Amino acid sequence: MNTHEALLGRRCLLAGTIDTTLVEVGAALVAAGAEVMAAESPLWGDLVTEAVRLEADDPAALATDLRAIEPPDVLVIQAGWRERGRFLDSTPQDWAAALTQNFEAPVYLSQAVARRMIEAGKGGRIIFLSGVEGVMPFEEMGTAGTTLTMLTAMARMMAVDLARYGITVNVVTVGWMDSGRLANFGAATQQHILEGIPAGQAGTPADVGAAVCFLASAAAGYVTGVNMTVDGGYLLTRAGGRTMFEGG
Amino acid sequence: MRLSGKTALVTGAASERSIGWGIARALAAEGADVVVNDVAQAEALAARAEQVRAMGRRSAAVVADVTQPEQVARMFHEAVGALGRVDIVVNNAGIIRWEHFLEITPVELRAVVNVNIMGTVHVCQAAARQMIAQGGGGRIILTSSVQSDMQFPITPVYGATKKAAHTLVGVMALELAQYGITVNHIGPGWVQSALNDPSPELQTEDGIAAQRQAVPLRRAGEIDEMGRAVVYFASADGDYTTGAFLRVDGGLGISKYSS
Repeated sequence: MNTHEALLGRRCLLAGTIDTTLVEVGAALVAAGAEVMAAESPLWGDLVTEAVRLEADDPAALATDLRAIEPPDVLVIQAGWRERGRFLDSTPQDWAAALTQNFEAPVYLSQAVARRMIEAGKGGRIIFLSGVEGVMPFEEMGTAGTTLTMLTAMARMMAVDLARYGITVNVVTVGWMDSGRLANFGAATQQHILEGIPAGQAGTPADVGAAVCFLASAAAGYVTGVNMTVDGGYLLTRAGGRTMFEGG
Repeated sequence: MRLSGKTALVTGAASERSIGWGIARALAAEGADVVVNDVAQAEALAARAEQVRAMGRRSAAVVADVTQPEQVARMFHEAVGALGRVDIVVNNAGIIRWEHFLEITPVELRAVVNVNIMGTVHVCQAAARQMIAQGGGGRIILTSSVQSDMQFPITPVYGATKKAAHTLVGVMALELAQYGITVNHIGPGWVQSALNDPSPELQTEDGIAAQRQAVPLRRAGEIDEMGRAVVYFASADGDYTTGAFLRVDGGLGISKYSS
């Protein structure tokens, strides 16, 4: 598929956890002709055409912040809380942080942006970036997984309520990437993880960017409420080990 | 009787028209001693404990707010004081709000998340610690919902918390298996309970008729039917079942339309 200029002139607001993956998503959107708005971060380089202030845990402040910009056509939020820990060791502070970053803030921001999209009357695209922990249970990922599952469920009901306005809502569930957390593990653990991926290798942030570009494009206008896994088949089966992180 | 000599704690069991009471009664009917809990309604809760005692079982009523860890700790202390140990913990307390996505407010969102997620975390952590301290073994059972499988747009926050039970139950089942503790959840559909009374869908005869029509078995579930599903997980019948979800919903979760 020729994606060049598929998003020409589309205004994309990128929010949530800013990391290599989200930056690559931004790069893919820009390559397809889109403009990218986001909170300031040195990670963006020169990708962002408009810096945005977002007070993500306060819907009233968010509405004010969003008044300062033209309504976006596309909203991408990365739910990025991923601390490891056993359920019995999880603290109320862990849960508060996970609930805020993976559920509450994405709900309020998408709600505020949806209202702007509805006012503008041009439809829109809302895309959440989640993780495999939100689809099946993994040891030591209970807090992250539970809160990501909450977001994926909410996305389905958002899709129902916003469909009448031409707004689609989808989730991209991201598997192991060749950047970020995988590099934090030792060689044995990395090999164990890679053996659990039918594709035989970790994904790249560009793989995620391509999925987001599709969901953001006109081609995906009839796709809503899906959870698209970009994981090389990781969730389809399991490796021999007990955990995601065998050997720590 | 399948639960003779077992002891249980059931949260959210004050109302005589609550799933929690249906569960407590079903456990007691199978021989278990049962401590009942709720956040308020002390008089009603005491009446439930009295009903359990009238069935020939030991009981106690413990008022505690599951969103407060120190109150949960006190609840377990009092339950163990009353019954000696806790073999079965049913995390049933939950709340629901009816609103569409665009109407969600932080106050209502946090109320539902605090009880349905944080309350569950506090109760299940305390339950597992108590069971481990007793030498291992034990049953943790959550009341979730048909919405663990399919969420309804009029209750998106509630549905999110219930779908999340799949993940939370799964992770707990994985991590607590080494202690001999099983963790499962039941999925009630339409139950004519006090919780459901304010449902906008159930305010008229037509609404109730439509609800009945949506259920393949053509009726609401009874609270005791939820209780008997819990008994399966709690008894030796459920020894090899962990991380499982059992819908008890008359088929609601598999029907888009039913006619």
